[in-house]
Amino acid sequence: MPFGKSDQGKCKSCHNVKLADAKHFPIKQEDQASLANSVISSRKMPALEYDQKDVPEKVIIDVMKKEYEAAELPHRKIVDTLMARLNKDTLGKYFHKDKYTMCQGCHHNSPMSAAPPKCATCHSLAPKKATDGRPGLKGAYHGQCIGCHDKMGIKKPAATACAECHKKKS
Amino acid sequence: MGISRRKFLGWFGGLSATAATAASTAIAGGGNHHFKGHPDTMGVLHDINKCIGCRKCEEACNTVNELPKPEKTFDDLTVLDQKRRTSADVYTVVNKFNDSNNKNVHVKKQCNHCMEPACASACFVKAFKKMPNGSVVYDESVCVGCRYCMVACPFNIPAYEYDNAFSPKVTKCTLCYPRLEKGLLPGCVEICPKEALIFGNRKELIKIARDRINKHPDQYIDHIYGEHEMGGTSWLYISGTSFSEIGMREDLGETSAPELTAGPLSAVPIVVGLWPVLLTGVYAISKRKDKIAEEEKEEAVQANQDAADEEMKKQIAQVRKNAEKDKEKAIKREVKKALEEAAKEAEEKAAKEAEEKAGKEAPEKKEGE
Repeated sequence: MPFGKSDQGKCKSCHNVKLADAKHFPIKQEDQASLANSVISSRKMPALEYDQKDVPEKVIIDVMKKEYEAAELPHRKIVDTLMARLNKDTLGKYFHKDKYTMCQGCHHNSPMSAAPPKCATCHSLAPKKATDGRPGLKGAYHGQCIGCHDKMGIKKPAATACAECHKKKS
Repeated sequence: MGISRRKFLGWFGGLSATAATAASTAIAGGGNHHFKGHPDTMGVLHDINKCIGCRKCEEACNTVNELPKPEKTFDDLTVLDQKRRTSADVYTVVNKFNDSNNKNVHVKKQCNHCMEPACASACFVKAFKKMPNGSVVYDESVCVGCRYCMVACPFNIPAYEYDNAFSPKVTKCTLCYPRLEKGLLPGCVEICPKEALIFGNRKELIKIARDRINKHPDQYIDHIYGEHEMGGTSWLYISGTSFSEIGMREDLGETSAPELTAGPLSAVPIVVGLWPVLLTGVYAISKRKDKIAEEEKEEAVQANQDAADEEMKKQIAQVRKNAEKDKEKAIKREVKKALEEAAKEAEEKAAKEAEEKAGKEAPEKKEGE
């Protein structure tokens, strides 16, 4: 999500007490705290889950093969890892409660759906001069995976371990 | 006034020569039209945050330029443990640094293809040329191997074939000029898997870099390195780590090297042309002054001599006159003496005669007695 671009309207989903009702709140600080706690715990956030048929187990990326073979993406494993992290956190669960919101992390800049467009739809395959900030297909693939791994501090696979994601052509 | 006309003119001439030299220096320095680059000049934007240090760019450069393969292959990442620089057959290197969070940062280093290159300015045989498409290309056929370009480059990029005894070349990144002419991308740019290198029109790249910094202000330092450094370079850098921590000089200033040297260099023709004439003139004047002094001295000596001669003549004449007088006196005296003697003699003679006469008479008397 671009920095600083969150929708203020979403805040109201949790902070939904009308000012008129606030007059009836207890006066003491600790009474207010216990009231808040009870409200929060009563909000049952169900665990996120997905439909197996929506999420392919492996995705073969073989659009551009030059020095390396096709890359086999362990797609479902990635989705499971992300979901596990989100489900540990109420806020995480809340903000990703819509069905395909989490998918938008990688399948970005297009409407949420079970069948997001191919990366090559917007990122050109042929190497070309840069006229705007949009990367080409190779840069998009590597940037998306390696970029996120970098930010999340994932050590394996290392960014420079090329053959771990796609075998080298002999 | 104590000063002579000659001295005054001499001083005035010297002063005006100095003033003319200084004026021409200032004019040349200020009158340099600031060249903003050819309109289609290309560049490369290096996003240091994206570089993972895989060294594929080094490998591509080696392949594309048909350079000899190095000892350690390009997938040996242990070479990153040491800082490297460009060398005879190595146009570009990737170096690894540690940022303040102890995280690895990788930076690619190569010729920055400056807008107004110091190497081209220092080269007196015009071996370096800034092409309209941005590349600074090197012509080995005119190179004399003086290596002034290596001295001049503020980024220490040009390398030299020290091992080549008979025809050593200066080597550096060419921005893949031959590939650009064919419409291809530079080798390193094409191969970079992370698109840490993007190639395009320099003005566009600056916009892209500015945009990226604005979109992610927490991830980038708000500075595009190369936008203005040394008058601007074709290779631009953006980074999340401070540039001085990743081996990039931040003390270079924004004046290009040719602009810095244009002032003093422009003074050379006027110095070479004017000063010899002026100094010869001053020399001639002072030499003439000496000559005239010499002549005057001789004249004075001569006059003195003549005066002395005159004096001498006068004295001699005087002495002669005196001698004459003395002679005359002596003659007179002698004459007088002689006259006196003669008179005396005559007297004596008369006396003697008288005596004789008396004597004669006397004996007669005696007889007659």
